Amino acid sequence: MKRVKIQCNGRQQTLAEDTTLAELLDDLGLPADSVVAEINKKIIDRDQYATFKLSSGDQVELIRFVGGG
Amino acid sequence: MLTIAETKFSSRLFVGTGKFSSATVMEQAIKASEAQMVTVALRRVDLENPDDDIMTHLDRERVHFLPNTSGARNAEEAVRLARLSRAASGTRWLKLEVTPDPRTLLPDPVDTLKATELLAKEDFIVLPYINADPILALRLQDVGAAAVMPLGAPIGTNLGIQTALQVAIIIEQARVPVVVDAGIGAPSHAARAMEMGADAVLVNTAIAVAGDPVRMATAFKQAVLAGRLAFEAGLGASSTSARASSPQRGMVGESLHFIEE
Repeated sequence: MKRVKIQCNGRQQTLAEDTTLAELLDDLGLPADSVVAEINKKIIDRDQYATFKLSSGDQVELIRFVGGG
Repeated sequence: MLTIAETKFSSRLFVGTGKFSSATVMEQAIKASEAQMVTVALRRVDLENPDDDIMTHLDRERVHFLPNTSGARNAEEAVRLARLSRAASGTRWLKLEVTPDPRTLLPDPVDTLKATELLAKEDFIVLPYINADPILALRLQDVGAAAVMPLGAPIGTNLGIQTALQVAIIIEQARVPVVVDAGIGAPSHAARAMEMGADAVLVNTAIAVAGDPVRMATAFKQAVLAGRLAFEAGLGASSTSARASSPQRGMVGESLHFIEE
């Protein structure tokens, strides 16, 4: 089976081919509505998570709110 | 009543959510403060601790969300964070912070002005965090800032309103609300800012790191109410020489000169 290699929050990750963003979030145990995803510095709309397929070399940033002043 | 960008707030205390020992303490402190505006920051998800989500501890029916751009070192990074924040929360509200130097965390006035102009055009409601510079405050409102947030002292220092003279000028000149931010370390500092005529104050560290953050939140709530009431009531003039409070005639006692007169 073909694999794709991505960077997720600075961490190397290998995924099965055709893995979607929604599946990645699911694997990481992150509810989709708790994060915002940026791929190669482009914000991905939440309604595209289920159809957005990750490709080798993608730089994925998963961001959420934390305590701050 | 405080109005920012046509939104009304009955509380003039804004509260930050950083540095609390636990989410429960934070929730209780926010409740005790009766704040309606609460700041949050954006960070990468910690993939080792994915369950740690602050949003589950904040009731967005009761508090207004003010995401900040902390961590941005220039206008470009701040704009990126602003867009992420809007995508994450759906809110147009933004506390714009551009701090190039992690040692002082002082805001960059040039990039703050640039980013405010750009984000206001993108329909963000921008509240820029600034040094207490009256000219900059005017320039920011000219490019669309919804309020200005001058610092009392550097972030997290608890040093109070070290910039009182400049803050007073900002308040005098402002056409948008003035929210004194950063450095407020004690309820007396908050009261002082409010007595000076600030429209609101933002407090984080002083509540979060207090011995009892929940009681401290109550203390700040009361200080802000007292300071605002004093401002509205009109403070008496100050003087460098004494002015007696008691009548200077009709004293009881034989040796008193005004009886002997």
